[in-house]
Amino acid sequence: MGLGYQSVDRWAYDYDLWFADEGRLAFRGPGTDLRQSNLLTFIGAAQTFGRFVDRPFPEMFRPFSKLPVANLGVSGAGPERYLNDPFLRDVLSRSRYVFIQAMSGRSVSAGVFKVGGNNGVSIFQEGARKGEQHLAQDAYRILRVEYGEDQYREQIRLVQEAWVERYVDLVETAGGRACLIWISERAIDSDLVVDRSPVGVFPHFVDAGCVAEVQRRCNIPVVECVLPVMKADPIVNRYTGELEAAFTPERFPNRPDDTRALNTYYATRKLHDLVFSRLMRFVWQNADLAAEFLV
Amino acid sequence: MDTGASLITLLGMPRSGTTLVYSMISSHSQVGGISEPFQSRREQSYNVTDAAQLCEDFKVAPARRQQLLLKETTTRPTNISLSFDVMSDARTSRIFTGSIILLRNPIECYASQVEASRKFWKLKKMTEISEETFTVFARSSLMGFRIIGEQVRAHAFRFLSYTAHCEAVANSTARCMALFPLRLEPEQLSDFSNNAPSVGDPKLRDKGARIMLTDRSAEVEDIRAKFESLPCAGFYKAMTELEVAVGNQVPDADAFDELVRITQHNWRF
Repeated sequence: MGLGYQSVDRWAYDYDLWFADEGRLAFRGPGTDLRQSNLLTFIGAAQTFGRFVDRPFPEMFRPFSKLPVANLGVSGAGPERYLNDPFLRDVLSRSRYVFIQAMSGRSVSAGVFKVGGNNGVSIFQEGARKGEQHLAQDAYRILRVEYGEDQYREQIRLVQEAWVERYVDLVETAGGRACLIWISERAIDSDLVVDRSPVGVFPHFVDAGCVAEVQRRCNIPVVECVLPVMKADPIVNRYTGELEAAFTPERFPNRPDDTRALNTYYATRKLHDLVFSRLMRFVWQNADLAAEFLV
Repeated sequence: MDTGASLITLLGMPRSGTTLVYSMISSHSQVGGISEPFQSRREQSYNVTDAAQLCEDFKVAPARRQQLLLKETTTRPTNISLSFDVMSDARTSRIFTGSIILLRNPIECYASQVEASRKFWKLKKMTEISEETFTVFARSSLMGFRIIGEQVRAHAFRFLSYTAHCEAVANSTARCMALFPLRLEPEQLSDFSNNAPSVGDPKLRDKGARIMLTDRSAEVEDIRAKFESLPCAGFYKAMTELEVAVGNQVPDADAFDELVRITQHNWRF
């Protein structure tokens, strides 16, 4: 957890990894004492972790917060990453407020797939590929090609149902003291487009219906942060100022050479800035939250 | 291109727990440890800064030369300078470099140093609690940490509180390992579980001594009160407060700024 990013990115970024639960769980620093009961906790995937940015949005929030801030973002995470871990469930239940990023539907166990690892891996539960483990993107491509379009579409429906249930569970674990943060290049009410990619655009498979259902059942606010055109950020060596080809040919042989020093996928600095500003506006507009959270 | 190799230095005052932390980190199956190369061979004026040569001279197993941990203390400022020279040389070979800066209550370190000198060291240099030894210890510490403040930002770095480390050994050691980055191995903790006495300083081991988490708070307070009017007392106070702040998880960048403020202050001792 986290060590993978630290290993690949270390010449450009120091994620200052810290650990909890006897060295088992790794998070992006600065560290926070998770025994506290008044935490403002951020959970989500690589966007919350903040790959390829110096200051992810939870860290931008920290100087303005009266309460301790915990960035518990984990690469590739889905809701099960937090729900299936008693330590993390306990942290969520004791937190003063939880900012929950809308995570990928491909990181949810449902239908044909059970997720593994940090929820970035899909394991076939039935059919010709039963027992096989693949990266989620590959798994869905195989499903579509080999199991057929009908089963692929049914899988999407099952995933959406499961995603809603997991998110309701997350919010209930947090005692209802939560909001949903949508971070994406597409708007919540945009159509799911799965023509070019079997999983579409992040958060994969999650659409307006899913979000609306969570809102209906949990009555939580949604903070929408959309950057439709997210230009790639260069990856720069923090010691020399030169471009840093973090995605080396040895470790990433299939990556196009002209993208080896570019962040073409993860939330860019501009998107983090947007999320931070939307979060601050959300808190300020809620007088009770502002009084309690902000310095 | 990242070679995948790392060279991490562990730096601190003498008697600040550097041997304990060094032992825990270097017991990882992939880490090769080099302990006090410049202090231990000071009489030969040993000043090798090439990592490969250091590995040869200190017999680091070939399988462990990709991930190196080098420990030194502020006993002599030269130890610290040479450690940074090793890191700078390594950087030219695209070896990733970083430092773990270990802090402990400096008066505890001083008291422990006097005790160790009295009981164990061959060269009896600092065997009495006195104004002179109190000031000498502060001076060498200041010079060593000043070099750290001037050079560490060219590398990755972590501040570590000895007290906090002992209270949460697994999490703290895992954080150190993440600098390489390597996963914590269970065996690294087997001799160092909380509430268990830790395996002692190799220099003490043959004398049957073990490092225990001794409560020196009364002794520390006595020494502090006795020497509070000395010019170096402010330095001890500042470093004490810095260690407490680090133990309370102040960000490393803030701890660095404070270290520079302390070490660049116009002390007169």
